[in-house]
Amino acid sequence: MLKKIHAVAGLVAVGAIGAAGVSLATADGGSQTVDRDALALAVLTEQKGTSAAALLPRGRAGFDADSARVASVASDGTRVIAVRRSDPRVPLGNGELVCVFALPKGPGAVPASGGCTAVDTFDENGVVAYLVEEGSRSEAVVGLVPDGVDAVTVTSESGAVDRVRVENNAFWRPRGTPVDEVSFDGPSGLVTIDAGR
Amino acid sequence: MQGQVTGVGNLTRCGLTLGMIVAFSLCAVTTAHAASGPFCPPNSGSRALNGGERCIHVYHNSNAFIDYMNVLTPVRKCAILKPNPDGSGGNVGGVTAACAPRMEIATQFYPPPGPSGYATGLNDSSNYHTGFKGLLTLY
Repeated sequence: MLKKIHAVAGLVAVGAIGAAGVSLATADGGSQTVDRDALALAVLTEQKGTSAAALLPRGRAGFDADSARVASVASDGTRVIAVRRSDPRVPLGNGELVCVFALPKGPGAVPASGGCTAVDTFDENGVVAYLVEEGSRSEAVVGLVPDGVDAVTVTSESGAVDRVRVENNAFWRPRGTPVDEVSFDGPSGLVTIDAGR
Repeated sequence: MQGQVTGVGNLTRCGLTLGMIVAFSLCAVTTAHAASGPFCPPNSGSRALNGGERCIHVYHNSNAFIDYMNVLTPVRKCAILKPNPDGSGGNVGGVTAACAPRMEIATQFYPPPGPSGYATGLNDSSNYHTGFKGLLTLY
């Protein structure tokens, strides 16, 4: 899970909460800067044999910066953030949630938008969220999928089918035709997530 | 008013406008932190994202997340911060609405001190007439 962004030394967490930016080394030797504060991030460590959800530390009720991870950086610079949250007020999965956020590109690029699902369903079905401009007929879709999923299929309302690559359990389809469904081959077979309209 | 509100801190329940208190309307005013409880639109079919309904709660700038979740209807719902108490206006912070399908949670994150405005939940579905009841969580 979330293997492709490593610490320089392989496993050193960065943290750096409150810093103006956090530099993360990437697998190809490059680096990226992640904007600050509550989305300041620990570097991902490579752990095998652990479920995707289990790799995300449990946060406090609300948000804990230590529970956030950069899962992927999209080609347009949007960062896909994985967060595990704990909120007993949410009557799903005992309040344990896995969330995916799309963090827009740019200086101070927060806030973020996304979606959450109960942790006990995440490892089977992943989590998908849509980002919509009001009055627009286009939308982006962002998601986290279980381990072992290399790509997802995004079927648009127009009938167009896009194969979207998964990186570090995350995928991001930039704004485009409204989505009809997202599907992938999950651990227990085909998973189809209807857009819900 | 429907159901109960939990963990409300300084929470005040009210109808959005006098005489507009309907069975499923809820208006919460927070002055500090968390507020959560069942919600439902004050009206149907107005100011639609894509033909749906919306709910509005005051959003305080100390909050970090706004969440909207359907618990009854498996349709898509969205969360967005709007400047106006009727859920209208351009999106605060330039952020797109976050929409989630099924029983999942649409959420937005604003690092404190974030912008103030109105947490607006939208039913982004042509299926809104089947009901739009869910749980709002502010932090």
